[in-house]
Amino acid sequence: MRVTLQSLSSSIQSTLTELTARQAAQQMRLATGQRILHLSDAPTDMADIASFRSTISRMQRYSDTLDGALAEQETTSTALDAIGTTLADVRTLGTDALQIANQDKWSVFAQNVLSKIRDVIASANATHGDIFVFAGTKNTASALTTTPPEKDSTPYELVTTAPTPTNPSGLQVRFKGNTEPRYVQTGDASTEQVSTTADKVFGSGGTAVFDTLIALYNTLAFNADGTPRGDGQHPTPEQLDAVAALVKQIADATTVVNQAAADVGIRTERMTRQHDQLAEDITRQRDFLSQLSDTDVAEATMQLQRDQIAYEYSLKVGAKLLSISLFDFLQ
Amino acid sequence: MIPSLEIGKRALLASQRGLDVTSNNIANVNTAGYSRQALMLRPGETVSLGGTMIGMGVLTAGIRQFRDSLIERDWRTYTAAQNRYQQDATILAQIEQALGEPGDQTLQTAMQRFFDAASQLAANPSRLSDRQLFVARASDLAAQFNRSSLAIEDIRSSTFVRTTQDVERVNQLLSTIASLNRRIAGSGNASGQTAPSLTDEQTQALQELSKYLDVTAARDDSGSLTVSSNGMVLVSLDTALSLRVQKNLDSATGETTLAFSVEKPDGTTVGSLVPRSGELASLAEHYNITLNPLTTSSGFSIARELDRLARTFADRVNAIAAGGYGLNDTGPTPPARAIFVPSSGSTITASTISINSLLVTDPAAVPTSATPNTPGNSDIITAIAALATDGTFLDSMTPEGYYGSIASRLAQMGASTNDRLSAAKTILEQVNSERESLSGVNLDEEATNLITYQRSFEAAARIVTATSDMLATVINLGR
Repeated sequence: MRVTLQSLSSSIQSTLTELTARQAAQQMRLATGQRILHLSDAPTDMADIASFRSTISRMQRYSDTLDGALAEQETTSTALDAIGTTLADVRTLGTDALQIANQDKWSVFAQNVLSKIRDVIASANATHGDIFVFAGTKNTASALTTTPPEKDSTPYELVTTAPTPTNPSGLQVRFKGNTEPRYVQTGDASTEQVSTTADKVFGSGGTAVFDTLIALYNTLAFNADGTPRGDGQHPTPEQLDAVAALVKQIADATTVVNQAAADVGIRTERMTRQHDQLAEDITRQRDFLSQLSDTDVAEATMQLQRDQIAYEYSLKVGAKLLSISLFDFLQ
Repeated sequence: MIPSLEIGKRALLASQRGLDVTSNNIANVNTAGYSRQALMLRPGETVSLGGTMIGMGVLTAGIRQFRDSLIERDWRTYTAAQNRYQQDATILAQIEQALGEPGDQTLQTAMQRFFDAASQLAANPSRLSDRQLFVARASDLAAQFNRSSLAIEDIRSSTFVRTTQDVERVNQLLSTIASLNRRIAGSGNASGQTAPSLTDEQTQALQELSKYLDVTAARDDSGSLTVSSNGMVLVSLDTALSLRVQKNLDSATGETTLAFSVEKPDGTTVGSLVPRSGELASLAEHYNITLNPLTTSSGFSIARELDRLARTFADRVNAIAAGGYGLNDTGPTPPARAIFVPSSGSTITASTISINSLLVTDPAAVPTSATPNTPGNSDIITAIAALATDGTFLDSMTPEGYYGSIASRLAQMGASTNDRLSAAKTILEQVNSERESLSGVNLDEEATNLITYQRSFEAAARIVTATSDMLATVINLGR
């Protein structure tokens, strides 16, 4: 086969171009850390990379959601602990009030109970960020509508209405939220209730506990005829029975609150486990993704080295081949 | 002795021509398309001198060009193929760039961020900062669709410009070939030989033409080249037809496509041409299919797929949002508020998708709740977030899955094009090597020829000198 100057030079040129392109690609891989510089470099891997990225993003979403949900559980748990403690205090007050030595001090006990009612209300209005944790889905101030005598934009409010024979103080706790549960997506096919509804904590309608507490206050603060109890005034046997029954109801309510707190704890534990599992899965998926999309620095460096050597030798060989002909030896 | 002088003269002339041809070869060693030449010699006539038959030296029989029509045909075929695949690769790389692939600023990322924001908002539907984030992400997604669509439209426009420039060059080359046909026909000598340099020039023009089109060429006895493409004769004798790029608008669908019409020099159309290879075939295919948003072809159209994804995305999100209430919506029926709206016209496409401006000015209006006046209800935004994993979103795929399939298709096309390009390059290098082997100038060979002709010239001169000496001897015999 005849070899001409043109065929020699075009062959050398094409080799040098190819080697330069390969070196540029390796340098780009090392500089960016990306193994795949163009979609066409690895079509199958690209599909897998897209899938991994999508999965990781989704898992990260669920993980972030769980982060937020866990923070809310903590707020809820703290509030429930406070409510449980306050109810236990009220039960102790009720029990103490039944003691013979204390039966002439019910008006003082009544004031203490009223103070505790206010404490329970404060805990019932606990917020996480800008939302009320026990208000269901009507959980922002702007969503809570007030009707007189209500004044503030909190889900629970102690108001005073007209006294009645059964409620001589006229005190009433109004609930302006609802008992709809709130859920968050924690997986492709799993949701988790993130809220603790008011009825699960405070009984029917979200106010039953308060009715009991106000009934206790009324019994302690008022005589059987509805007049305010003065110092030294003793309760009637019926009132003693009523307080005993109310103390029992408050004890039951405390159990319900503790049960709700336990539910939150179980939920928190479940969410934490799920969160940890997601963190592990994300790490694993990122590892797979890295194997596909990241540059193997050692391999890329070695390849670059090989390409550089090949390039240098191609230059040397090319220079030698192109520089001599028979003319160089003719006298 | 007179015949010896004639023989010597002829040998001197033949050696001089040989040196001329060799010099020309050496001079054209770097001329593209040049085919090496060789002096053809034949023995002179035989004459009877005193009853003895004597040859009358050497005569030049012409100049031979080393050319193989089969190799040149292959050369054109693979030049067209290489340029077609090279153009394919260029356009596909531009599409990759338009989509930001492979990278972190892609539509897939924008969709992920949209769903992340929806998910975050679903966890805290009443939080204004999360609403603002959701609106920002939806706006980013729409902008990403717009950018990609605009970039693809730009590629399509530049494809058209490139096509018109290519066609202009094709017409120049066709005209050159026809003009060379005329000159070749007029350059023939008495023995029917044509000027080799004109043939080389014509071959070079033909070679360049094959970058743009798949062409076949046949040379007749007079040396004229007839050039045709896909059955359409483009050059015959000294007449060249010309191509014209036509932009056809389908008034029913609004689709624009490009086609090539073939015209006579007087402007009358003689037919249409569908290139099968070369740059023009690639440009036409990508303009008419890959980059055409309204194509009805079964081929892959990135523009159509993006429009489909954008439209479906907006439709699905809006359908869910229509049943939702914003923070301040208290009416008994939902306000049917869309999240995505067309920026112009009534149809949402990748280029027109935009965020509802009401949501930008008032993020509280983002429909998140399924019931009025329940800011904590996140049923609607949860359903929107759940679209991320909806396997029936489009063609039995999730939104990101569908986009992934588009990117994957592009990747496959790119890989396939690169493979074909690589194969065409390799074959073209082989063909080129074969062509060079036959037609190229080898300097060592020419150096040898140079010495050969130099020596034969010296020997011929010696014949003349010797004969002259002998003649002088004869002339001086009687002195």
